[in-house]
Amino acid sequence: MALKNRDAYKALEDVLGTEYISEEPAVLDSYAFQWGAELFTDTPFLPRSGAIVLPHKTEEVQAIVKICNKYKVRYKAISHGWGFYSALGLDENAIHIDMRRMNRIIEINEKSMYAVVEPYVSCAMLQAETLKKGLNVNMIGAGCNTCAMPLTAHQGTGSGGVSTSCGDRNCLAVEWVTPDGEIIKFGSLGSGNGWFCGDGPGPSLRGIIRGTQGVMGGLGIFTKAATKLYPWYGPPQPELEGASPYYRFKELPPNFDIHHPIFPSWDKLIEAAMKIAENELAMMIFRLPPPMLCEALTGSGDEGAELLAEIQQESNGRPGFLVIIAGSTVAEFNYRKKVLAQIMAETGGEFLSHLEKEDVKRMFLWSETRYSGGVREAFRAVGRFLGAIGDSAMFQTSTRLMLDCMELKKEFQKRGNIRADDGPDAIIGMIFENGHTGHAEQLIMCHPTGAGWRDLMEFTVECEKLAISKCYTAPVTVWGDDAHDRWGPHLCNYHLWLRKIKKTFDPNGVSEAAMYISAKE
Amino acid sequence: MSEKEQLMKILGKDNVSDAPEELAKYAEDESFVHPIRPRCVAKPANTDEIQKLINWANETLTPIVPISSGPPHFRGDTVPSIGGAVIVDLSRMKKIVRVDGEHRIAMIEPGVTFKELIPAVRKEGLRLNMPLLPRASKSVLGSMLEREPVIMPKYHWDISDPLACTEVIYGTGDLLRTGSAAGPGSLKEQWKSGAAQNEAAGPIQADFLRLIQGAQGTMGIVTWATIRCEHAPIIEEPYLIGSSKLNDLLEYTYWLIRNRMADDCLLLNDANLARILAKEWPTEYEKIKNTLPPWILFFTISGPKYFPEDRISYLKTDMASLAQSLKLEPLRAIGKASAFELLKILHEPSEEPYWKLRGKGSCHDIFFITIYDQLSEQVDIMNSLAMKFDYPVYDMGIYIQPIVQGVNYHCEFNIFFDPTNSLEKCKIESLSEEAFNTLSNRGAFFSRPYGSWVDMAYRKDAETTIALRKIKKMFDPNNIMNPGKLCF
Repeated sequence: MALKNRDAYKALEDVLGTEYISEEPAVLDSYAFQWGAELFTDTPFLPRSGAIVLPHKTEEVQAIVKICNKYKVRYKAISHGWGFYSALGLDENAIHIDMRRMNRIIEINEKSMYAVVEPYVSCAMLQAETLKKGLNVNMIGAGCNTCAMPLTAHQGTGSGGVSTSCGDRNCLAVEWVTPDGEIIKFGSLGSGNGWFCGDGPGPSLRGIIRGTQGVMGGLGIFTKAATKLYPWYGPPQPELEGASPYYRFKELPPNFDIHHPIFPSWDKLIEAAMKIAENELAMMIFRLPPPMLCEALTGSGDEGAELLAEIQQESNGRPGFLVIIAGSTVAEFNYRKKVLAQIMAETGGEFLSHLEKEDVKRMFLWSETRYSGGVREAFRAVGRFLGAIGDSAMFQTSTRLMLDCMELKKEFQKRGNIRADDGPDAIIGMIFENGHTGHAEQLIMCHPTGAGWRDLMEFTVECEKLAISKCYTAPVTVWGDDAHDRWGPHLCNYHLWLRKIKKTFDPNGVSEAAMYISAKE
Repeated sequence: MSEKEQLMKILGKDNVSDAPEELAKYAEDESFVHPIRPRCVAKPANTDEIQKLINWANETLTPIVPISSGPPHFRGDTVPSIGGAVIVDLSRMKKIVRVDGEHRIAMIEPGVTFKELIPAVRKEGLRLNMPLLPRASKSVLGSMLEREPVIMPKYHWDISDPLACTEVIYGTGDLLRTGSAAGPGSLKEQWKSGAAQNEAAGPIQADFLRLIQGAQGTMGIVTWATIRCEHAPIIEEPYLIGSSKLNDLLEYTYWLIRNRMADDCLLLNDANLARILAKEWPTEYEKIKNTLPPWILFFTISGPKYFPEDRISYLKTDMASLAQSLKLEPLRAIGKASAFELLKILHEPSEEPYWKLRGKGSCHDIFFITIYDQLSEQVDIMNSLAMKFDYPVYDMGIYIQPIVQGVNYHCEFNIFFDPTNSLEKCKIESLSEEAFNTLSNRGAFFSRPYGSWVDMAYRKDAETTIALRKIKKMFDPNNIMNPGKLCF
């Protein structure tokens, strides 16, 4: 398969040169090979796009988009390309725009605590530089390999959100190539005053480029953006020891500690998590279910299973979460530890003994700070996951919805395509902005087959129905026309406005909308 | 039926007026915008009436201008830009719908003022992230829709804070609840499920709140909103640091905010601090001012529910050590300014007369958003401009507010003047325009343009202007919502 419109191909080649455009089947397949493809094709491959193009600068991106509009060729830009989201909806009438050559950190402003990045700057890459200046990034839960831009991510939330907020709210000024090929610079940038503010003059254009979820390639291309940074109290260039996957801090950084408290009940867990968040004690609050916790703490599936057995014995079904306490001074750190102890006493919390081992602390603190929990754990078992996803409004309600969904899941597990949890639950949870908002989800591992995915998606839809019936806030996985049409009537018909935005800013419908919304009437 | 009678049918006869003395109140304000008398004033009481009113305005193509705060108004955004407008005065909508202490959220209608909301949230153990001394008649919602700066930068995560969810009737007459309030279910059903309308973004893949904020009533009318609050501390200690060098105070402020040490945190010059503290004018103003250094940083530290004394104790040590390294000294009083007195004043709305009207009778604010690196230079530029226009620099108020957790700074120059002196007024209008031109070329971002700044702001950013006009066409295709404002 190659790009059907040969005039378009030639025009793209003229802009990029032959080196940065390809329609080689092997190259196209490398983009079409995505986890989750089985849901759509029963194979690990999604349909190939017509061509891959690799722009180097904004002007090239703009030229590509204008060509696509001229020849009615659909396009989808990807930064780090994560799962089926990054390649869905493409075919021989569409191109993939791979942003990997746009990988520059444009600016790190220490005094104003923001960084300006291009789309292929990863969280890890940016964090390596910001730590040197005593600043940290909002590490996205999908891993440090994901895009540091606060725009391209689906949700943009991570385990450190209690102190580093989340995607949509970390965004400052943006450079946006609109679906029809104009360049709009938001806020202070548009007025020629730099990257520090993304809102105004007057209403904020940030309102149309993402909500609780990003537009996921469905509304043009973001070529640069500024993101807020947060204080980092650890060493500027951490000294490590060990080898992958067992890297660890050589010494536990001063004024840092990590615990995994467990609680007599979910109610007590929620109470404790919220108290810790509201009292501004934590750098990170992250709820990982026991099997995933054990995967995160170990280097292989076997080690994970062994540790799980040990932890299960100690926790005896009591749920817990991970908490990292850090302080800018010794006194602050000691105060926070003292309050944490008090909250543990009030809520019946106990620290899981495995996480109290000094070497485990050094390893887990490093991995949670640097890699972000979730990735190794989500993929190691079967390489495929999704699940019941909560909202990004409240940790409390989102967690309660996930607990309700656990009952539903048991029915689906009987079919044999959804992996058993090997533990009491599969609930992941996180808290943002000192507890003002939060999120939970129930990640389900499914067998990498079409049947596995279909069961999983059916389960997801059942969970959505449950959320609607109980008036829980909408999940952060509403993608594509079907899902928007399903949710819109329950959410003041927002989807009709979203369609107007799409139609207005993408008059030719060329920015691929499989993960966004189409302009259909 | 006349148009007035049609409106009376929707709102009741007591809530529509075209009495000349009533119309005159809305025809002009303290700003330099040209006075235009509205056709009539309508005072709806609820969402249903607003929706009907907007539908009526679409049918009759009548411009409508929403207003939620009481007078005096300062920016010209509530003065009609064209004739024949109906003022939609929301001051009857005064319900504090709910204050949720557990989830730190208050839900209010647009007519609720700071004076009314502050005691209601205190009762639930909460505090508001306030703007600097709002006037008593200022609508909380009006302030937050305009993205006015607030005095606790540590809790100002995003420029849209502390506004969370809203219910809005767009210019089309359609209703949308933004953020997590959108649904599923009614508000009551959501409360029953434990939800608190606290997530501002969304629903889903757009952030509709951001299209209403900063819009000066040009997109629709907000009928209620939720406001993020914070837990009230058990102990709160205020400090003042004075200096003749703004840069030294900015460096201290930077570390206070970066390490999340301070709650309230703002900088004033001597003229503004004296104006805020003075009770008798002009004698006390001069007396206080003469005892103050040119720049004063005000900040508070707090002890929450858990071991409040312990927290205060370490913060005192940390802030003192930081101050020592910069050769500064946090004090309880500087000259005739007491930190505790200022704390008390700043946590309430302004006493009457409104602090910006004291002394000369009126005030014009020149304000913008900037960053740490550029602030000092911009202050110097403004001082030079004031001198150029013969405005007494020693009398000019300056207010610097770190916002968005220190990522941005709101910088505001308060130009006090005698509104009966037309020559002075004329000079200040020219000063304001030149300040925009000069400062916006030196890094100042006028994110909230009013009056004569509007055209200049949008001329600098043609692409944003085009995009905003497309959005306006979606939400208000007949351009009935406050036409003539911003780039619409």
